[in-house]
Formats: sequence, C-alpha cells, structure tokens
Amino acid sequence: MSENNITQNIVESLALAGGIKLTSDESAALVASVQATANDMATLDALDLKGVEPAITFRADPQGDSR
Amino acid sequence: MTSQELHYLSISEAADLISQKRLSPVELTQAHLTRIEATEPRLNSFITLLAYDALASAQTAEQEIQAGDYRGPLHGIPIGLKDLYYTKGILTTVGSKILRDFVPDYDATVTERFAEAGAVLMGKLQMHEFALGATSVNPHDGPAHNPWDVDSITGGSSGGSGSAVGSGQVMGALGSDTGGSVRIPAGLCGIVGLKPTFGRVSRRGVFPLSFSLDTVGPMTRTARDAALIMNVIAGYDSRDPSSANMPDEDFTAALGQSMSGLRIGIPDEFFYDIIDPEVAEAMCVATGMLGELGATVERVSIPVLNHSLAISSTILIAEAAEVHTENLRDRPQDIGADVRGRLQTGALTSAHDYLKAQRARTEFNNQMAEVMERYDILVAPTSAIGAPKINQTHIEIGGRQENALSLMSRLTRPFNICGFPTATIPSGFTSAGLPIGMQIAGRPFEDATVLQVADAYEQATDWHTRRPPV
Repeated sequence: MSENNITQNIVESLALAGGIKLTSDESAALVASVQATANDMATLDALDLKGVEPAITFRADPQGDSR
Repeated sequence: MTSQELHYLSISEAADLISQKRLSPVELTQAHLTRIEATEPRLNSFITLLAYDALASAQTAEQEIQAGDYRGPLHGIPIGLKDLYYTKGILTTVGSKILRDFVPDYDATVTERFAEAGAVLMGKLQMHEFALGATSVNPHDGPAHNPWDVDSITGGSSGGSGSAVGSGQVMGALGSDTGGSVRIPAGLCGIVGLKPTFGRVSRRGVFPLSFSLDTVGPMTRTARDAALIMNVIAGYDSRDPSSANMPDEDFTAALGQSMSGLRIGIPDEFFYDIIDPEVAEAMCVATGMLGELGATVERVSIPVLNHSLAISSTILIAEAAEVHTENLRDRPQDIGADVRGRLQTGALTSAHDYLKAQRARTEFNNQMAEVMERYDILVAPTSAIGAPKINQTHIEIGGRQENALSLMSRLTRPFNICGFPTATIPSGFTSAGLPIGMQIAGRPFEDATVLQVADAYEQATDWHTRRPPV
C-alpha cells in the first residue's frame, strides 16, 4: 500500500481479497489503522534499501543461530 | 521470619536459606499462598491458581532437600507462568475465550526446565488476550491491577506476571516479549524484567504471537534473580527451530564485576521525543549513576531508531494475523474488540508491506550492529510515562493531550527488531508514586553483560527494595 488516502471501500476490497469477513462498523473502524500502516510504510521510503534483503529467519545451516 | 519477610525475600536469599535447610519450601510456599489470598481480590494476577499442586511440589522439594538431593537455586522456589506457557494437564487459556478450555498434553521446554530445577509452580498468570496488547485489560478475565496503585494498569501483555512478582505473590515469573511485554509490565510494576537475546530461550510450547519477534523472559525483583532463572531456562533446544545453538553459560558470572571500561550509549533519537519530564529526569540521574560506577557514558546518534514503530508494528501484526487466520475467520466474535481490530489490520497488510518492513529491519539491524561496535550497552527509558489508570486513554504532557497507551508501549520496540538482550530495572518513581524503569540493552548473546550492569546499578540504589502499598 502507498500513503494514498484509505477509504472504507478500500478496506472492504482488501478484506474481500483476503477472505476476511468484516461488518460495516468494523471496516469503518479499520480505516484509521490501515491508513496508519500505509503511512508507516511511506516513512520507510527514507531508508536506502537497495540491495537489502528481508530479515527472513530461515538459514540453510540448521546449527546456526537464527539471524 | 514473618510471612511478610518471607514473601519479599529474593530468590537468591531464599535459595541460600533453603540450601542450608534453614527455610522450608513448604513454609515458603504457604507464605506466598497467604499473600495471594490477601491480595488477589485487588490484583487479579492469576487465571489459574494451583494451591494444592504447589503445596505438594513444595513437600516433595522439602523431602528431596532433607535427603541431600538439593537441585540448585530454584529448588523449592514459588514461581508463576504467564498463561501462554504449555503446562501438561493444566489449563492454558492464553487469556482468550477461544482457548478457555485448552489443556495441553505436553509441557513447554521452559516448563520442563522449571520442573527439573525443582521450582514450585503456583499458577498461571493473567495476560492481555493472545498477548496482543500492552494493557492487560482483558475482556474475559478482567484487568490485572498494578500493586502500586490498584486503579492503574500493570502494562502488558505479561500483566499478571508483573503484579504477582511486584506484590510478593510469587518470587519470579516468566513473561513473553514481542514488542515489550516483559519490560513494560516489569517497568510499570517496579520490578526487573529481561528480554533475552532472540533465540536464547526456547519457545517450544509457548503460544506464538509473532514468529520473528517472540522471546521468553524472566520477571523478578532483582537482576541476580533474573540471572538465576536464565541459568535454568536458557540453552539450545533442538525442538525449537528458532533456538540458537550457543554454549550454556552462567548468567551470574559477571555479577559484581567492575563497570570500569564499559562503554554506554544514550541514544539521541526516538526515546525522548515525547516523554513525561519526571521520567526524563529519572533517566538523567540514573545514567549519571552509571558513570559514577565507572562506565564511560555518552550520547550517541542512531537516526534509524525513528523507524522503529513502522518496522515493528507492521511485522508484528502481520505475523499475528497469520497465527490467528482460523480464529479471525471462524470465531471473530469471541475475540475482544481491541485484539480483533489489530488482527484484522494485520490480515489486511500486504505481502509487499510485510517484506518492505523486513527489508527495513535488515537495514535497522545493520545500523544497530555498527553502533554496538562502539558501545557495550545502550540505555533508555522503558516507558515514557508511569502506569495509566485503567481505561485512561490520554495523558497531558507539555500542555498537549497525548495517547497514553502509545506512550506507554513504544519505547521497547527497537530492541525486539534487532533481538538485543534488554533488561528493565527500577530506576525511580513519579510524583504520583508510580515506578519508572530503565532499559539496558546489550549485544546479541551478551545477556550476562546486561545483567552485570543491571546488578551494579541495583547495588548502588534502593529503588528495587521499595514495596508497594497493596
């Protein structure tokens, strides 16, 4: 998601795609928190992540530590 | 020794007496049961109290010790477990309605290790539902109450662990820490809490919240007691995929050593952005004390800390939503409104956003690792405010109304992202008489150094010796 304005319609579309059942009250209440996630994501654009891989915990070496 | 003197002994003190056969585990357990009976109606620390089983365990411990089979410092010591640790044959609700009747058929690894050490399990402790929240105000079990002010919250999610240890109902407990759930209630209840290095303590048989953030940690009244519990629970567990294959160590080994030569950093960013001036002042005094104890203390700029909440929140709620896929789909009405909303938000988080947060986490960790080439320890406040009242939503700071729950729970997040071992220790009180905690974070797998600094600070101050009015 980008920092676009999140609407109740967007929340309901996301829920439908994800198989999440929401009441109308719930989807309305989630607009703010989904918007907050979108805003959080936008702040991460300030980091230079070129060539940076995600901090996935899988390691091929089963004896190694987990990070 | 009176009952009150018994229930506020440290584990270390009680262990010395028990090992010398000068204190009976049965007498000690009975004193704690008496304390629980007197205080539980005001605290609500327990979901399941195991009084009969505890006395039976204490009697077994006493017989073993009398027969010369002393197992170590936790033998005969009354402890509690947050109600997400699997206990074979004992109810494990995870603070939820959905698991209200769940009885595991095996013990968590840490439950096994406590049993092998001869500890006396007093019961299963109250928590925020599914550990997904920082208040321990639970719609199914009621709120845990802070022993320093029963109208205030304990913080969470390990709220029952905080109130039980802080009030002398148990001598130590386990919490779990994904975004601060050991350190927040420990800080707000005036006790010690340790979030060990990620992977240092087994999570097998611990109900998950977030795969890449969850840790298991002790909550005690002294740093030494936390070290004694770590000696029992830490270590490689081949049955836990996240367990780190590191050698066993004695976490008490560095206690009492000089702090001379240690380099301590005070981050400029994030921790002091919005903070109660009384907490900031307490931190100023506490960090000054660390300098007086021989450490080199200086300020350090770590700009990436400003991304802590974006990274932590996105990963935590997305992973939690995956854990609860079936619950969200089949029984959403049985989940409390606050937790349900967080899970729904997590379920709506895209894979793109989750991976972006995990990539940012790599960069965050790289920058934190660079900082730790120059510093042995970072210190910071545990919570920006003292414990809010139950159901309080806002607090005035600097003439502005701020979200109390956000301020209470935001400062612990950075150290979950990077997995650093981090303790909170009592470091003062607000003018309202509520505890203030200080975080001490170290390099990965240098948990013993964190405890060394915590212990040294404790020895130089008396905050940890003060007792709540409950």
